[in-house]
Amino acid sequence: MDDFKENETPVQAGPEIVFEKVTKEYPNGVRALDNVSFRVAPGEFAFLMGHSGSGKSSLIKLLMLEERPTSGRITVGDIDLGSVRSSGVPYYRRLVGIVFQDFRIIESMTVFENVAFALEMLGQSRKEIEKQVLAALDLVGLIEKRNEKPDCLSGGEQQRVAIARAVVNLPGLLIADEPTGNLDMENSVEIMKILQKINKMGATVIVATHEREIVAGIGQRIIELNHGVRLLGDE
Amino acid sequence: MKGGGAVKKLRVIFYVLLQSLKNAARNLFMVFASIIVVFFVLLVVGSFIEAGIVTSDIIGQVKERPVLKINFHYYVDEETAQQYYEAIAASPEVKQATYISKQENFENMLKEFEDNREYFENLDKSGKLKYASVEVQLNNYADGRAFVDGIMEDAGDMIDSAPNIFSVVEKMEKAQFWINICTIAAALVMTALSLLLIFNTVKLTVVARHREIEIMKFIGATNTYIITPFVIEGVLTGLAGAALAFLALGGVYNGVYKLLLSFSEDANIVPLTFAASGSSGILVFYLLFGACTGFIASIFAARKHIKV
Repeated sequence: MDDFKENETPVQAGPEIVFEKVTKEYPNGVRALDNVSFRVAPGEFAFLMGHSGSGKSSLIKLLMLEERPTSGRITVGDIDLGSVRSSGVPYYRRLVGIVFQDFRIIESMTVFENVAFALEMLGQSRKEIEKQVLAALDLVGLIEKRNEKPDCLSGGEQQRVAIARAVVNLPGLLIADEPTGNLDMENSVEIMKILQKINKMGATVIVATHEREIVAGIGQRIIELNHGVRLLGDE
Repeated sequence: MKGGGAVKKLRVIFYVLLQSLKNAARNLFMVFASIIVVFFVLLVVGSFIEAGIVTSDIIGQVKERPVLKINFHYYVDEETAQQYYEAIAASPEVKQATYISKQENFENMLKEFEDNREYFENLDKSGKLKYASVEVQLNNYADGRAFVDGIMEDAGDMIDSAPNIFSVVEKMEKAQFWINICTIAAALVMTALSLLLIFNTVKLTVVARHREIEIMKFIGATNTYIITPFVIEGVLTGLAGAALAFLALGGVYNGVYKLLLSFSEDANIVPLTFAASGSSGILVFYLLFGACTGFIASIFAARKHIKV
């Protein structure tokens, strides 16, 4: 990963994720993760469950390289995250799609521009961008609304824009942090269906949530955290 | 594949440039304020620089051709005046001396006041408007003060005036010293002001685009990619201020130049035109100043507030 650079072929098949005895302690003494180990198989769909303060967000931050573990080892496919230097972090993140609870889409841009945004920085041609963006919008069922501004969309639609942006670059790993936290049940189910569809295309998907109804309805593997300690989800 | 990489890089550069212009458009008021500050900073500093250059040139011209005009009192007759002229012309300090008779001086004056010729002709009946003069060109500027003092000592009762351009030059040299001090002080204060305002402008843009920047980081934008549009915005702001300031300085200078021309003949100097006053050097300085100020202020603001 040290020399992982812009022009390398992106990993399209879902990578394996391995946490080995990972501990994360913040400078204020809070231990968010305590000796956590688990494995997510390539192309697997896994829920990361736990109440507020259980360590879900810290785990996602570690996967996004926003934070580094205090001890332990994390690997994503062939990449040992501990060996990724600061300068390599942006290139690693291009292999990972992320969706947030609060959508984080840009109000001043249209649906199309929001999704295209991720490809512009890669220097892709207009034609390539259009092709990929339309494919991503088709996947989330928003192709008809490509010229709309976010304020004309419902919460569920805005989250679908965020998912399209996360997958437009065909990442092997998709992480969703409470993607249904701001949505009603109907929209939540729709979002979950889209995430499952992406998983079936080959991506490894990790969804952090505290909504048990959603998890029960989907019936996928659960990794449960409680105060930084893993309770469930053995291989 | 290398060619493809280059094309991709060019597309990214084009996109970043576009983003910079969009940044500026979104934050038009503050950008405009920054341009105005850079404009005034450079106009003030440039005016001091030009004042220094012009003063230095005038001093140089006076030193090169040290000329003074000695005017006798009206009651000194032509014969006595001629005797003094011969004495002056024989002085070793004098390179050349020219005698101007009472009538010649009077005719020159009438030419100058052509519209009121009759009035002055009538006024001259007393004879007080007619006086003889000696125009003296010295060998060396350094002898000037002692020469004037010597003439005044020998024939002070006969001489009405000997405009002491040498003391004027001394005053100009003192003025030039203070102009240089003011130039440095103005440059320092105004540079700090420009840096602060561009810094704040970019900071505001960063705050306004905080969400966008956060998303960019998550989708894998590099630090350079995130910061570059802000830096370009800062540099463009600086350059716009510099270009406007140069145009304004040219306008101000041409106004002053016309003023200088109106009395340059009397003062025996040829004022510098804007082009000859080092304007190309000033343009380069302006553009460098604008670009560097914009670059430094924006890179600090972007780095500090983006925390990449």
